[in-house]
Amino acid sequence: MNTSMIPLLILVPFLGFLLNAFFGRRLGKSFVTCVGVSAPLIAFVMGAALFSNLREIDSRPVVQLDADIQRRVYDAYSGELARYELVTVHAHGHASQRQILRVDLPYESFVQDALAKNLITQAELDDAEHAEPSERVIVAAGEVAPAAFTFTLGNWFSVGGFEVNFAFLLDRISILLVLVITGIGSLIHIYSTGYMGDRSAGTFARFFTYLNLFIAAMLVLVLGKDLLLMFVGWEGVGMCSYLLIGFDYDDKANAACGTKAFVVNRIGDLGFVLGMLCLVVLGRQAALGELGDGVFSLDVDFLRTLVDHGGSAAAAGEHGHGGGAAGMIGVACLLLFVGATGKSAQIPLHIWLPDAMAGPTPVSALIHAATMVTAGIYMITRLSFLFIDAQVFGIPVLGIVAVIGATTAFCAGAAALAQDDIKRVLAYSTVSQLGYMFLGVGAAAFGASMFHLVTHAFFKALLFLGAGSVIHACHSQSMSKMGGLKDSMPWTFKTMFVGAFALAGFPLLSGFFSKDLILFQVLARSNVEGASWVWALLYGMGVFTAALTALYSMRLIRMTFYGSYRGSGHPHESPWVMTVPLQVLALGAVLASLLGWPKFFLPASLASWADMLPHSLHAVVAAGPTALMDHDYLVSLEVTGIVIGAVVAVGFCALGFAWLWSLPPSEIAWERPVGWMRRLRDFLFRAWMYDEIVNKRGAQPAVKQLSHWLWRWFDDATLDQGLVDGMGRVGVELSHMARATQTGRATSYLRMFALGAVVLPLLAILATPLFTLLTAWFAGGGTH
Amino acid sequence: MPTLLIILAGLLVVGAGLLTVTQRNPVRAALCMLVALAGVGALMLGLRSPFLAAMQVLLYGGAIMVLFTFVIMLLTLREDEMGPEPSDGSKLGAAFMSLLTLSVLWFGISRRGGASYEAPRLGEEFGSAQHFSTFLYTDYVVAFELVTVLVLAAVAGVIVLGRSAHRTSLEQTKIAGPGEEAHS
Amino acid sequence: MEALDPIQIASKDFKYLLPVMLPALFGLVALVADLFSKSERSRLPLCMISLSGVCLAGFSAIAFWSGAEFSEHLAGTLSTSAFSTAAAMPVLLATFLISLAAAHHGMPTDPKATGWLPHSLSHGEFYGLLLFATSGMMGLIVANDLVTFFVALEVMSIAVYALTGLDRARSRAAEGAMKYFVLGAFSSGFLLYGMAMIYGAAHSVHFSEIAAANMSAGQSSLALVGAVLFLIGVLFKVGAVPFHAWAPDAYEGATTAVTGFMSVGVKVAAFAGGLRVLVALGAGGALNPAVGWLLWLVAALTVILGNAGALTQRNPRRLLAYSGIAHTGYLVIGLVAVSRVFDTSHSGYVTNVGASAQLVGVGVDAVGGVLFYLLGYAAANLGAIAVLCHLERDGEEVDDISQLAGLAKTQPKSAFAMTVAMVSLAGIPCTAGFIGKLWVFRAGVAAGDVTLVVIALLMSVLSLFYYLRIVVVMWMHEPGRGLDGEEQQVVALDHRRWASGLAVGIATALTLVFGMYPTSGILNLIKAGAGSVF
Repeated sequence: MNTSMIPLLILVPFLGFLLNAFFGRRLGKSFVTCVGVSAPLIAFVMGAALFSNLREIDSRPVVQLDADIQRRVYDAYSGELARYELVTVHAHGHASQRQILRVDLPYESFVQDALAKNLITQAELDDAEHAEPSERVIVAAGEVAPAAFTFTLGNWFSVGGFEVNFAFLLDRISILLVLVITGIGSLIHIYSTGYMGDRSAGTFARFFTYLNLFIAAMLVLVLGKDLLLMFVGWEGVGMCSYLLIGFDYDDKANAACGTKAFVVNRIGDLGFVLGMLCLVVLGRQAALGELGDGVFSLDVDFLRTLVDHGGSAAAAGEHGHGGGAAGMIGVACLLLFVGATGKSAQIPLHIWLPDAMAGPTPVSALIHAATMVTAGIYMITRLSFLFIDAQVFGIPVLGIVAVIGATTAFCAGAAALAQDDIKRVLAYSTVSQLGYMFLGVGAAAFGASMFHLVTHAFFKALLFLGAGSVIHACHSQSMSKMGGLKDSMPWTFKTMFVGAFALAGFPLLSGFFSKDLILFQVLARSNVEGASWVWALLYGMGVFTAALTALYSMRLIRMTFYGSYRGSGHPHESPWVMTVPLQVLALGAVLASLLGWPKFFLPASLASWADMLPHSLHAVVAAGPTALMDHDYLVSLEVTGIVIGAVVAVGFCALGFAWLWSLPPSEIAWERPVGWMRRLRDFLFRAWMYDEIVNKRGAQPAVKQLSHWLWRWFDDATLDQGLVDGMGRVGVELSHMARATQTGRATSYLRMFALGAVVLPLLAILATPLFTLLTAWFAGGGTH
Repeated sequence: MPTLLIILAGLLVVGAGLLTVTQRNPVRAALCMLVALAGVGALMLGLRSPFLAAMQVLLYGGAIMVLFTFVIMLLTLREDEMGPEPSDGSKLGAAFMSLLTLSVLWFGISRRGGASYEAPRLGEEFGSAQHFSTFLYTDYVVAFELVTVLVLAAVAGVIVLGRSAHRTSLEQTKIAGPGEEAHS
Repeated sequence: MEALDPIQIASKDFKYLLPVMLPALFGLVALVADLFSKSERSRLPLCMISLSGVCLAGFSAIAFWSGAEFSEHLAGTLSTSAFSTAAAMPVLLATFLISLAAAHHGMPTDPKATGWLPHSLSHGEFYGLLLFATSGMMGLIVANDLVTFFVALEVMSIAVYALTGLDRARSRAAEGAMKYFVLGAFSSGFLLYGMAMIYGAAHSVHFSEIAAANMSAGQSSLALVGAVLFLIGVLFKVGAVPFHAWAPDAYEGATTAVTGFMSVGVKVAAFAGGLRVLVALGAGGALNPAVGWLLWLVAALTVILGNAGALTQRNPRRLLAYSGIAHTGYLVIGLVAVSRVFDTSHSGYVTNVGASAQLVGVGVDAVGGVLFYLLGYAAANLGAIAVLCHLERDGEEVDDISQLAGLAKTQPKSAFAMTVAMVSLAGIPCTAGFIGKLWVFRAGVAAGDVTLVVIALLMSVLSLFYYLRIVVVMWMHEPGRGLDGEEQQVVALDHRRWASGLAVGIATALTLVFGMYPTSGILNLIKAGAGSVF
């Protein structure tokens, strides 16, 4: 397998971008459609090829040789990149490292080849044959050393020992994201040809230009082996997101939304940059000190050795030096997490995402639901070895991540209940689901989070595209202007119905297993020593949020598709280019659950299917404390978790139907629920909210009020005005101050100059005696 | 004797300099400046550099100041064209700043520290035209060459700035109104 | 002191002076050639003279200067190394690109019109002064004694003062030039006083002897005050706060081409010369820890005020003036790091580790960062300026960024170039500006000034707003509709302006190449240059 396919993977959508940018307008819509759609499709096919290659290599035996032979083999094969991979194994649980030479040949042929090239002698081979099998041939590759392709295009720059390479890493984590980005991306591209079909050729071309560029940038983010390269992609997707939110820039409000997203993301990016700076400082220190070779970088491999080095130094208790390094790692992780909160819309930087809905709906589906906003989770998973033991003032960083995640999940879930705009419901839902993923990451359940990321990409893209189809038909985003669309838009209805239930975590649909896997891990975490009540609380919040999720999903379906149509015009089903992607995604939203059916759920003959996706990631991410727990106990917890999850999901879906069916019609007649549902509704709701909801007398319903309050407080009042407007205002004030000094009169300039010219030498003269005086004073105070 | 000369000349330069900036009448200010420049010549004489002193008097006192005075006379500024009298506050501020500058400089000069520095023994020919030009054409030849470029640049600059509507047509002239400055 | 033998200056030494003197020589040729050009038709011959002067100077700089160590020539008045070559590159780049960009200035839009519009840049003096100023800048870079330093500085300054006021048709040009001149004369006074005091403390004007002098003995305030006064003069030239006030007025007043030239050339030369003197002063013990903190303060103020000032500007030249001030602030961080090398008491991250070799390593890193930053800044800033020159029509220049509205539709290539320039100035990855910032900031962090770097980072986030506003105006506004929705005249495409188009292309290509693949000869040159300073 030629690893040079990795940069090609990025190049294809980039070429699409270039073609569309330079020729799109001139050559018309059909050309743009061709190029725009085929770019992600080709990338997807390439990604799939790479994926199958990874799997194939994983199923091959691996030869382990002693260091000397290893080096000789390395030298002999170094010209042929395609033929071997040097894989670093990170045995989880403890930070030991071994280097294993992976030769892309069957064992026998490799030995023959090696003998022919005089890499090993017959005697050495005999020794190896007589050695323990575990030392000679490592067992099935998937268990210990998963395959990974690295490809280095060349050196970007190197300054004073600081090396930055154009290096790409394709391993199990990144291939997953690559497939999601290109696969779901292709579907959304196809859908967009219908959705944007009525726009002018120029606008059409511009849209696909940005979209292709986004795919390319996202692939850079995902494949970048160096943190700095990742940051290039990080900025690139941010820019595309900004351009696409304000896509219809004729509307001032849209441009303002773009600006808001931009501002908030900059704050996050600042955290990312500062985090990288911390790691650079740390790397430099280590490279000049114990690591010794003076070369350092932000490469993932280097960071790994850095962590091991810092970790071992801390364990050995070396004169506080290693402790300092570990503390620095904690700070770096916290800052990187700030970056993640910006990109992935977590509290306190979540406010931009609902406003980002100003962009065209396919954009919301692709960027603001399926791919870009998950970059924060991906980054933490990629750097899991860095985060796993990171602490700030004794507080584990992952704990902070989990608390933020759970809080966001809950608040956003509650806010989603109060929305009328269909896209805003989905936006808050996305924020809430991302909160789940952060909760999972925080519980060191990286595999579970990635699993949820994949399933969420399916059903949330589906829901957004469905919403787009509805908006396309109704020419309105307000759910109070919809209703009764299930007959006029049958495919949209059926697919969105599936999507909503998957989102609600209805048993056996994709959202069910992934969400419950996260919650189960949190539950397990609460059984580990240390701050277990926090984890128990977080689990409770997670379950409560699951209930909210079920409620708002049902509400969405109810408001949109049931009842009678309340808008104007005659909505009709969208063209096939829009419904076919919906059908494919709906299928995905159901089948994606197969990637992670729990083991106890499956017959023994299908055991290899169990927990497929999360399990495959175990070898490439760091393991948390739950990995050491008793297996049977874990299974019992998992069963408990699943049962609770199923009960909550089914119960609240039913409750949602019951409650929503009973809402009084303001202008239209509501359909009546039947039989037991009605009784269930009466039983549960009459006590504490039913009357208010039904009669709308007196105060607002408690849930609605709470969610309104949360929404107002989080969205409008504090952060929106405080943060975004505040930052703008400070900037403008500063600017006015700066300009006030610029009077335009030469005399005042001279005065300013003279003042500086006197003050600076004065300071230089006075600083030293003052400093000595102060230190003497402090030293005197210290001794007495 | 040279020390006394230096002190006297220094006082003369400072006094004349002060008068130059405080005089409202431009002609008087120019004359005070002439005195200050002559004082600098005297200072150079005190530092045993007769050639430089002569050049100072010839060039500044002779050529440049004459040019200055002519320009001022040609302009014949009236009282109201010279801008308002600076306020007492700004005068006080200027005085304070000058004092502060002076104290900083005094501090720097007075506390030289370090090993005691013996003045180099100067030969008889020091400060003569020959000695001066030998330096100019050996040790500081690069600076000297650069000065030729400097003069060339200055001449070119003066010509281009002095040539007003000669080649620039008046139709192209766009004069900013007084209000436009507030834009900055 | 006995007279020196004139023979001791070997004539072969004069080749080291070639990169300094060649621009001046070609400037003279341009002046003379202008006398013989009868019509105002075209300035292309003058442009060619200027370009060949720059190229020759560049080649001779590469051929004669690029040593790994500093070597002194011509009785110690010059010293050259790869540092000189590396610093000369952005200066020559500025002259080269501005010569090209200004070549079509004043060309009538009506293709049938005979004779060019009589405009400021139509005189041979423009190219003459441009080349004289270049000569001064080159001299400043290689000067090895205070006298040469000062004369070179004045050559540069006088020529640039005149260039600023070149556009006689606009009163703003004269006003800006006057302010620049008055303040410049004032700052020269401080510079000279500082030099006198440094001479008093070190007993020599030669940098190598200043570096060898032991000025820290006792409490030598003479050297310290001298050093600070000297630095004030340098900080004025680069436009650091509080000595920046001339910059917005002078930049706005000057013709766009001149704005570009002085924003890059003067800054590069003053930083390069200032760095050499700073290192010499530091090695001689003239700096005390307070100087590092003074520069720290200046850097912080400059970064804040520059970015804040640019935030609400709509005149592109004025915006670039403030942005230039901000970039000066980022660069002063490099000076701070250099001054820390000589500060043994400073408890930075590095001094914790210990060895003095590492301290020097930080200094080398900082100098390298400054050199690369200057190169990246030159390419990006000149790119933006070249686009503005390219859009000049009938002598009317772009005076409001609203005039760029919808440029992406009318002139996509120019819009792309402008975008690249803005993105690079903002320091976004894949451009030269990003690597420069990274390099300088890294040196700042290594020297222990994390707070300063954080301030600079915060402010560079702020800077995105005004840089990207231009990008937004170009790509997201309809042609002819300004920022407030007002009517704007659309600048029509003019294919005859190939020279300024070429300048735009070169600057854009360089910005991208330096940003994406800088591991070429230029990076080695900069590293060698930085290594030779200490």
